Parts: sequence; C-alpha cells; structure tokens
Amino acid sequence: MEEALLLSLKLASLTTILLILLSLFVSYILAYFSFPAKTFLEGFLMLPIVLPPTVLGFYMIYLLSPESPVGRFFKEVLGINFLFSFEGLLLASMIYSLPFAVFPIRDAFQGVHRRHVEIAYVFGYSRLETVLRVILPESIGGLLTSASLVFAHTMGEFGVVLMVGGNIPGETQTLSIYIYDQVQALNYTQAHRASLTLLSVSLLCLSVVLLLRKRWVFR
Amino acid sequence: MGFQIELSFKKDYGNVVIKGDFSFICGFNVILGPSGCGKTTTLRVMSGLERAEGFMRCCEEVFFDSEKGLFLPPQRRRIGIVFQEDNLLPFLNVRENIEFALKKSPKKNTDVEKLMEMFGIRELERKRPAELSGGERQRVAIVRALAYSPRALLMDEPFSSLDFRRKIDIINFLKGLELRIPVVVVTHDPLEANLLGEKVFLMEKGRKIAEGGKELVREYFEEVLNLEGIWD
Repeated sequence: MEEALLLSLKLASLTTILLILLSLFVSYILAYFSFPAKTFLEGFLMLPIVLPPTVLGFYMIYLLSPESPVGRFFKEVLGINFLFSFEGLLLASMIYSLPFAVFPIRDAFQGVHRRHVEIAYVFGYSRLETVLRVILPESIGGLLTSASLVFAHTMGEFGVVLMVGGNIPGETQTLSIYIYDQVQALNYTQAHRASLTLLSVSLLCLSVVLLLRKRWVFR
Repeated sequence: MGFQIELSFKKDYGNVVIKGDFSFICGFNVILGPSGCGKTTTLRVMSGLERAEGFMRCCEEVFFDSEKGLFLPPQRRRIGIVFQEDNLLPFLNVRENIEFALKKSPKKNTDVEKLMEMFGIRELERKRPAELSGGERQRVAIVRALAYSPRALLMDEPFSSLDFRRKIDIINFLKGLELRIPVVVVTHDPLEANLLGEKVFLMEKGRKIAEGGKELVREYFEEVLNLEGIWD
C-alpha cells in the first residue's frame, strides 16, 4: 500500500507543478489576447471535464501506442514510451486535469485590476516585470485554487490511470487502483485502510493549501 | 523658461472625438469639466496609456509625435500618476507600495522618509491598503508618485472620494511641497480648481473651451457656488 500511496503522491505533485507552469502560459494568452477560434479553443480545453475517462484513456492509448505516428515519434526520437509507464500516467493526468488548472488561473488573470497593470507600466515596469510583480501576486488566490483542484483531482483519478497506465505495482498502480484491486479480491480490511489513508492525505494536503490561501490572499 | 509641457492631441473613438491644445506650466494646472468631457482621456494620453494623434513635448523630450511616428511608451516617460481610487497594490503594504516606485526612480536620494512624515503615513508603513481609509490611501499614492521623482505629476480626480476636511488638508499639503514640476489635476469640482489652480483649463464635450487663471473658475461657476463668502 505504501508503494501505491507514494506513487499517487508523486503523480499528483508532479502533475500539479507541471500543469500549473503550463497553465500560466495558456491562461495568460486566454486572458489577455483575442484571436480567431478562441472560443473553440476554450471549448476544446474544457473537453476533459465532459468526456468519460474511458474515452480520454482510449484516445490516449490510440495516440501513444507505438503503432501510431505520435507514439512512434516519442519512442524513436525522444526515447519515451508513454504506454503503461509513469510518464504516460503523468501526461494523461495533465490532460485530464487541464481545465481545472487553466480556467481558475485565466479568471484570476482577468480579475487583476486593469489599473494596477497600468500603474506598473507608468512606474517603469516592462510587460514581463508587470506579470511577475503585479499579475502573478494578485492572482495568487486563483493559482492556489488551481493547484488544490489539480492535486485533489489527480489523487482521486481512476479511469484514465487504469486505461493508460494499466495496473503495474510500483510503476502505474496508484492508491485508487490499489483500493479497487483490494475490493475485487475481497480484502476489505486492506481496502478500508487504503481508503482512509487516501482520504486523510488528500484532506491534509488541501487544508495546507487553503491555509496558505487564507494567509496570502489580500483583498 | 517657458512652458513645461506642450500637448496637442486628437483622440477619435468613433462616436466621440476628444481634442485640445494645452500648455502646462511648472506648478498646478487644473483641467475642470463635467464627467465624460474627456479630461481623463487627456491624462491617459499624457501618460502613454492611450495613443492619440498629435504631439506632446515634456522637459525638452518628445513624448509622442504621430506625424513622425514617435511614441515613447509609458515606461520611459517617468511621469507620476495618482488615480481617483485603487491606486495601491493590494498585496503590498504601504512601504512596499512606495518602494515599488522608488525602485524604478533614477534618483535614489528622494527623501521618502521625510515625505512619509509630512503626509502622516509613517505609522502606517506596515499596513496593507485594505486597512487604510480613503484619505490615507490617497496620501500613500501621492507619496509613491513623488518617490518616482517624476518629471510631471498627473492626478485624476485624486480628491473626489475624500470628505471636505481631508480634501482641504491634502490640497494644502500638496501646495506646501513646492514641487518644481508641472502638476496636472483633473477634477469636476470648482472648489478644488479654485484652491489649486494656477492655470485652469475648462473642458466640455471633448473640447477645451477656455483657459486662464483661477478667475476663470469664478466666471464659469459663480452660479453653482454662489454661496456667500466661499471665495474669500
């Protein structure tokens, strides 16, 4: 169980970090630029919420398998095999939680007072400096919301993980899948212990984030 | 020495056109007019937050000249600005807000401590904007603008959210500073114009309609403020 727990924590942390970094960029573009087909792009980014994890997982298997050009590219050029590996799990988790990261950050960026941005410009701050010194600090609430949603969503992820990762102990068997296995094998005591662990660890992590939010967000 | 800022611009919004020729002197200049007359646009054009046709020269430097295709971005104009409200960054305390401007000032010898003392915000330095009153926030914003050692100070309705007493206090503070730069204050309040204006511009419906000394305020607003003794 410890192995599965550690894997879940590792997956959730890495997914959160990488996805937030990616979303900073995507959300900035969505918040401050207009371009053709923007609404279509937003709808596309929202898809992982609408689709059942099985559909998402199925398409990912299809795309990442060594028979498809995408899968072959990753395997031959970059040497990464995404199917039934931790890397694949990470990629799938990122796509699965993408809307939970992008949209709260976009809203936070849009909520930044236009005047504060203008003040930064007038007081000599370049565009990039303004992002770092004004827009990001003022969006910290949205960033933390995103981070906690992504973390929680990944900890509790089941369908996509099972489809893309298989169920390999130590490599792709997360805690949620471990619980499923135990229930299938009628090991209810183990299932109870694992479920309670998942619940407590998730609650603890979320409480820390919410506490930080309370300290950092000023209005 | 002559005029410190020369501005001649035209801003076309499609349904409204805002334009005017202004020569701002070193000292207090007031642009007076009703809401929606274009005074805020004038300040935004001066600070570089808005592009317009025409030209502007400040302290021997061209800020923009649409004919020659020159446009100096706001970052390089070194102009201090104070808006009506929401000036301060909510996640920084008073001192950090002031340092935000000081950091980018070319002159590091601006005596911020003395300014903070004068404006009575020294005791507030660890407080965040949300903990301050409207008057305190405006005073911090003014100190921050001055900490930037600006070449001109632009103020957009800076006293509108303040009660009568605070308004007069801050105006007296400002006048006591003996700034050697052009200060342009935009207001709809004839009283503020009368208290501050060394040079007064009247705007209406997107046009400058008159300019002169503070006698202009009396001329135009006598009927509004014909209260006995208020002008004496």
